[in-house]
Amino acid sequence: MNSQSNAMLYDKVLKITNVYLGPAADRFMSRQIQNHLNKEPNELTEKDLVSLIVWIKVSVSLLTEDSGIVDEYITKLNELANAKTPTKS
Amino acid sequence: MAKILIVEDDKDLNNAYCIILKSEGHEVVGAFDGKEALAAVESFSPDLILLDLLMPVMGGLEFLQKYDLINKHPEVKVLIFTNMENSPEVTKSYDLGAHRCIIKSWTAPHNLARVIEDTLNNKASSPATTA
Amino acid sequence: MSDAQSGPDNTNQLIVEKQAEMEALFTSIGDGAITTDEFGKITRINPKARQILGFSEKEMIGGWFPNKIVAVNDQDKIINMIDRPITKAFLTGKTISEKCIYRTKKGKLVPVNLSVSPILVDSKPLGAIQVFRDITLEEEVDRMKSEFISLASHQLRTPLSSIKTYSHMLIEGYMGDVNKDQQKSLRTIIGATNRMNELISTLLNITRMESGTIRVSLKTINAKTLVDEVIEELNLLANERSIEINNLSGKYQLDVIRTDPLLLKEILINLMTNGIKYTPENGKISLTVKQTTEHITFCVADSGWGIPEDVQNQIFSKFFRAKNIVKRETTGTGLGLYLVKGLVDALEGRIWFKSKPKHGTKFYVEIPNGKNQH
Repeated sequence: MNSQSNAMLYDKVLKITNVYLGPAADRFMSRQIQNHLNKEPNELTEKDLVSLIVWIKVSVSLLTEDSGIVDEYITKLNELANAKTPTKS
Repeated sequence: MAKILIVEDDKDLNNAYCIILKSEGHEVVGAFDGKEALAAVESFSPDLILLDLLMPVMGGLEFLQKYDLINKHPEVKVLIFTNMENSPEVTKSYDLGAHRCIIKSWTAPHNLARVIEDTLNNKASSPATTA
Repeated sequence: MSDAQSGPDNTNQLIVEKQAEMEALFTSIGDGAITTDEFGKITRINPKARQILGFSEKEMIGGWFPNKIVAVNDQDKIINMIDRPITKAFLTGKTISEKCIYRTKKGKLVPVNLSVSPILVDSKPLGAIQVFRDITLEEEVDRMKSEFISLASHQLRTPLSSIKTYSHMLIEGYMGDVNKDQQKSLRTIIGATNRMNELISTLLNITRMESGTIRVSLKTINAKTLVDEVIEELNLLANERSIEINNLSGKYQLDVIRTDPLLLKEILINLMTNGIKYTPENGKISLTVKQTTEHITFCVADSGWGIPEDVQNQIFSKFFRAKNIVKRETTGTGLGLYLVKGLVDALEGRIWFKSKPKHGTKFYVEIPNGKNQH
């Protein structure tokens, strides 16, 4: 996984998150990546995103009461995280 | 030479400041509390007021409010002269238009004269009302 | 009865007993305790929490935490959820301990110290647990302490002001000429008064610093004028030790700054006084000021005894005095630099120094110009 594609992944995550959190998206997401993964945002991988989603879910659940919106947001992140699922032999 | 009003409840200090400032050539009037100060400014229009905060009868903040420094006397300079630095009263006095605060027990007479000179010549600081 | 027959019943009973135990544990916590699930809904609230907030269990359980537990600042403005400790606990995965203000059912504001942690099972967050304590009484005591300190310092300083003012007036000839012996006695009185003043200021500010009540009152000031006044105050002390003070504050062009002039003055007076005290007679001290677009830096340089290298990392510690100083000057408290560091922090600045034994010391204090502060 090269750093360019990692950076693109973060951009995609941010694009989705912007829709739900607005200007706070970058601060919200970068803090999670730094604190839970000990990485910079541009180092985020699909595998990292999978492990991060549980934390994103509990945090976002404090920012909106609408569980439908939370589910919608998390579903989109899951799709992004599983977009490059390795094929099993 | 300027007209200076000293508002200080400690009679010894009030007397001392009068002597010091008169020897610098200023015209000086003393008042022992805010109420006396309000009466004094009716007939004596000071260029500068040396104002203590903690006084009986009427304190420095109440005097400043009633005197309405910002709206009615914007040309008058007010020096807060207190021993209570870092207190909410000092901050409030800035909001009411006071120019600066000096700590009494830190300030020797020659420095007092100098600080007053600087304030009259507008050297020390900007008035609290400017943004 | 065989183990197989008694197994499920015993297990069920054990589960019931354990649940009752957990419930009793939660209920017995002496501080307020609240748990939430992964959706931010309140799952448990103990009696102490209900007492502090004024809500019943029924009003709370199942409710969304941000709606039910309202946090405000001291102007009663609601704090955004993204800035609240529980959200930070999830963002960081760590326990967050902070002071907060909660709004009770009746609209009263209650200051609390709280600690909130994610509840983890197999490293996955299932919710959060928060424990908090009403600190209204502690805050009241702090307020009273602060008021007492202000009043006590005022009471102590009033007679000192008279002693200082009249001694200076005598020595400066306001009451007529004084002979050399009288001058010497007066300088002794002034010196002692200044030491008392210094001690009162130091104790007062350290108490404030340690109880977190240092107040920063911003004013736009001319830094050079402030420096001139500081040096004017210290001329007498410097003259007593035949120490030359070089005021180099006019060397560079300076723009006005926005800071707390009294705190800045206290910092500079402390550093200059140290410089004078710890420099041999006939030595030199200088004060230079430089400014960038963001910061202003004051440098106090002396030709004194310097700070031994092996203790340089302790120089800002409370009560610390280097051995080479204690031998020569016994009246210091070891509080001066500890206080200076605290005041510099209050002004959001930084302090550092360069020193070599027998070659003097340079202290640097850098603070923001403060142009954007209100």
